[in-house]
Amino acid sequence: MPKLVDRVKPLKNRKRKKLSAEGRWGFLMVSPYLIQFVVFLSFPLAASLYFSFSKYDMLNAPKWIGVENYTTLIQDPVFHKALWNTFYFTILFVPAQTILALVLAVALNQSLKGLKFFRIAHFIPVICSWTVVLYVADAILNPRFGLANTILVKLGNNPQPWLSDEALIIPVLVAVAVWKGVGYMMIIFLAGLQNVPEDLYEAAEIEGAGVWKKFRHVTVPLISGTTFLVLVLTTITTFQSFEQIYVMTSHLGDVTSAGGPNNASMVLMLYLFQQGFSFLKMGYASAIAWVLFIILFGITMIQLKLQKKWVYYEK
Amino acid sequence: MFNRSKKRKAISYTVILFSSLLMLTPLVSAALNSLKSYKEYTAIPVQWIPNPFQWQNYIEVWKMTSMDTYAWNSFIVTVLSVIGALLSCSMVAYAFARLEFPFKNSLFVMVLGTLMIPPVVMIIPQFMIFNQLGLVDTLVPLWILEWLAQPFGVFLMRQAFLAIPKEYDEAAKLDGCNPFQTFVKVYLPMCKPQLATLTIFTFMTKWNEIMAPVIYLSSEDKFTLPIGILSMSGAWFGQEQYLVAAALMSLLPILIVFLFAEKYFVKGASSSGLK
Amino acid sequence: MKYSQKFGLLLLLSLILAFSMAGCSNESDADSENSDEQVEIKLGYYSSGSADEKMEELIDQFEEKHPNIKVTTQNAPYSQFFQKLDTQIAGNNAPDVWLSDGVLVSKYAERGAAKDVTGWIERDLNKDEYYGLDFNKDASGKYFAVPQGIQIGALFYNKDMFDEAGVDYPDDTWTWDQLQETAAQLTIDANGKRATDDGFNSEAVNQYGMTFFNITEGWMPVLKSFGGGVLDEELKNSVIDSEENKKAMEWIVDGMQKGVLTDPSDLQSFQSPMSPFPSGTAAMRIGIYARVLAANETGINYDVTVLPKGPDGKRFAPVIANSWIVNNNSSDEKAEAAWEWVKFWVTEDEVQKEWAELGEAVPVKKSVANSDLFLNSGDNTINKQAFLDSFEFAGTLDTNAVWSEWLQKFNDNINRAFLNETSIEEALQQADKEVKKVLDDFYKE
Repeated sequence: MPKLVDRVKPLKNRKRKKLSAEGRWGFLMVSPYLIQFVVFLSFPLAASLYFSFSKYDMLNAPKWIGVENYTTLIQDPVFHKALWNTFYFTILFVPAQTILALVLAVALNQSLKGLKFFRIAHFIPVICSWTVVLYVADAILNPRFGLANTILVKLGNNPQPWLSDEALIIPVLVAVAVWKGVGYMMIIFLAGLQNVPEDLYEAAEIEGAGVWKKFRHVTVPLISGTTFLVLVLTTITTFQSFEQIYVMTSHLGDVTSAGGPNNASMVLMLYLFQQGFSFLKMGYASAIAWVLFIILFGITMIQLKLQKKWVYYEK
Repeated sequence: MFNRSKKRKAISYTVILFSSLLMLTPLVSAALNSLKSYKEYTAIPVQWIPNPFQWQNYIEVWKMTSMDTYAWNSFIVTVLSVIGALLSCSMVAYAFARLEFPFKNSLFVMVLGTLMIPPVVMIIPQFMIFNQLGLVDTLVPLWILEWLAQPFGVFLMRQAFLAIPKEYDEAAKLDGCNPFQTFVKVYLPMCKPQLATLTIFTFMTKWNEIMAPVIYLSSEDKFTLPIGILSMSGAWFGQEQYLVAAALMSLLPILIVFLFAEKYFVKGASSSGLK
Repeated sequence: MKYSQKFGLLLLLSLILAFSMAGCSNESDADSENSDEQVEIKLGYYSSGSADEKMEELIDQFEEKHPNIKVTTQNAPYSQFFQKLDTQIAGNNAPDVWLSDGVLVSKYAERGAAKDVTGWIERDLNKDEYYGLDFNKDASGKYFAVPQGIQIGALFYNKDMFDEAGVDYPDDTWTWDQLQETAAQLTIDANGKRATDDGFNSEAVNQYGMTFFNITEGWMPVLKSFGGGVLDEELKNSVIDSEENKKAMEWIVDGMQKGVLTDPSDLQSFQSPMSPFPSGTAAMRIGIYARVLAANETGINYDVTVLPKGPDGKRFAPVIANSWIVNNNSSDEKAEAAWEWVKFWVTEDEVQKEWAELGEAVPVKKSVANSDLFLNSGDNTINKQAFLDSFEFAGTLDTNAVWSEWLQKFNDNINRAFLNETSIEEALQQADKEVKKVLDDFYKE
């Protein structure tokens, strides 16, 4: 396809400095990302960094106030609570979902009757939007008409207030999130498992390996790449989760009413959103965002360090 | 050995059956709720099975709302996003995984970095950009960024390309392929499972997205399904079974698409390029 | 070959798209100048179901009357509307005139986004003819908005439930204590026992005496008629930690503990905290005028009267004057055209009548509100006069620029007292501290 190359070349070839052919191709192929980086990332980031050092209500021009937003943040008890809740949510959610997904994927990765049905059953929650989940979850969690309390009462226990109980709300939200997310992660694992060549298992079986040994020495190394990716990504997205908590804890879609009771389900993103969009403290919200960013960066760096220890790549 | 595999199957079946039950019960209960009259919906003790099944709840909801418009908008946004993500992410990821060019590593660190930036940080400035371009209250801001290689997809595809032995590269080079041709002919076909994953991921995110539509869309005829449904909450005081019906109705189109695409995903996953 | 060509084309396409997007940004600003006569204004309002159609109709009528003004509209459901509005004001892309929730007027006024319309009001409106203008007046006497429709609170009661219990309907002699005594007789648990019976189970209530939610239709009228409140006259300082508030809170918490009033966790059972009354699960509610619609729709047999008196005979009806705000950043020409719309809305009898027929809000124009059209509209003839009578003792919800922020802090704390997780004193003290901080952050530079 020489014609195409000729047409594209002049655009990228302004610099007369010699680039190897491979280098040219490299730049050309990452160009979509470069455009995004310059236009939709760098500029917004610079702007938001500036906002984080300003008093900015969106309706008037930002006013530089130095590090005041950050010092206020350090002393803000709701921010502390949101930070804790975010960690708590992530620490419950990520391992629970990963382990369950892996177990299900391994169980499904064989010729079972009704395989397709099982896969679909686990995937339907994934395709529900949070607004759908809100009404589906209510069928279970409604304190008066819900299935959960009906069963509890039948078994002679006290009904629980679920989403209006300060101690219960995060675990309940995590359970709902796992219900919704586990099928998706299971599919990722399943794709990874199906990449594991059958003959490796056969070889292991000939050597007398049992189920656990096969899992430990064949499956785990070969899907460690997928697992790693999945872990990094879930951690990052969980840390930034907003939609579930917004939809499930607010009244009539009012963001300021979400995060209750008494901030027991307040997470960082929700706090950021409330401060920024509901209370017009965009500067303060930007400061929260940057703190969140720094925390995430730290976590990811740790995970990348750990990656070298246990992820296996084919040479 | 025969016995062992039988036992394994039995355990697997138990696990999966139990978990399928957990998955489906809430959906079935909600479906039953959507078919009740309000009296039954709020009855104590709970009346599980509606009598009679009020199918007209769905008809009423369909009549009272613009569900078809919402679904079409969701569809447009999702399809354009998926196409964009597949093309741009795999191409960019290939360059990062297999080509040598100046600043490659620092660029990739930036990709990782941007993966960690909370999107909310950029909402206001990005809104200003789209506003300048006259694209606010159109569907464009909801999908255009997917055409510019989002970091998640790049990361995912790069991992996939890295797992492919380098010898394929050299073979293609000997055949006279340029890097782009190598990418399209050799690498892409080997990464179908990851492409499928990326499809599913983009599909899910876009179909269920709430924040961006809320910010960019204002006319009701541009609403996507999630915010369309959200905008109904509070519309029917004392008729809440309609809300449940509306929510489940919004699930139908994607459910149908999924049931069809399911086959493709499985095929994509099983015909992997690795031998 | 085929594959790679397609890819190349798409790449080119995306490059071209990116460049053309960067290029076209200059053009869009140019076309605003070629307007000799025709003014185009953008009007924003939040949707409320069937009312949208009527709004479009009225806009058409307006355009007919003012051929030189063209109106484009922007509407969205409530929370989306305001979220977007803020972003738009930031991007200088907001409507020229928009409908603001009454509680949010100060938010825009005090931040300079709303145009000062005092001069126009003096020029074009006879203030005595309208309800609620003064609810939008700031401390220095300036007006930043003109009411579109008024929401005012009254006591709703379910006649069937009163009849069944054999108690008299509420009237204008009631005190809050009387209300609670009666409410106890109207509260029924899962075993059919009333709150006045022995062995009544307050944990499993099937019918509440009164539903009680949040500020407008919950604690604010009680606090105010007990002589308390949240902010001082200036609306810049907290007066939360007071004896009056404590008494009012005791009344509320007492009712919740008996199971007679809904507490925040009771409301969790309902898809919407507004549901208990229209769905026939509660015998009474404090309700703003718009609640008539839901109650009519479910067909319960109800009526309204004025809210009860406090211990010292003080009354308070919460008011929310949803209002038109003219954008402070609009050009003079557009602002003038936007004012024409506001004027059209409040002065034209036809408009006021057509809007009143929807039954969404109390009409702004007194002559229309006091006419048969409003008082006796609809199949269900309830005592709408109660809403008009309530204007005598009506007040706002202590709204200021940081209303939603202090409200959140206040709610967080008193909800803990409602759920018995803390004492009333502690809740009020903590709320006082937190609300003070919110106010100081904004008002003390």
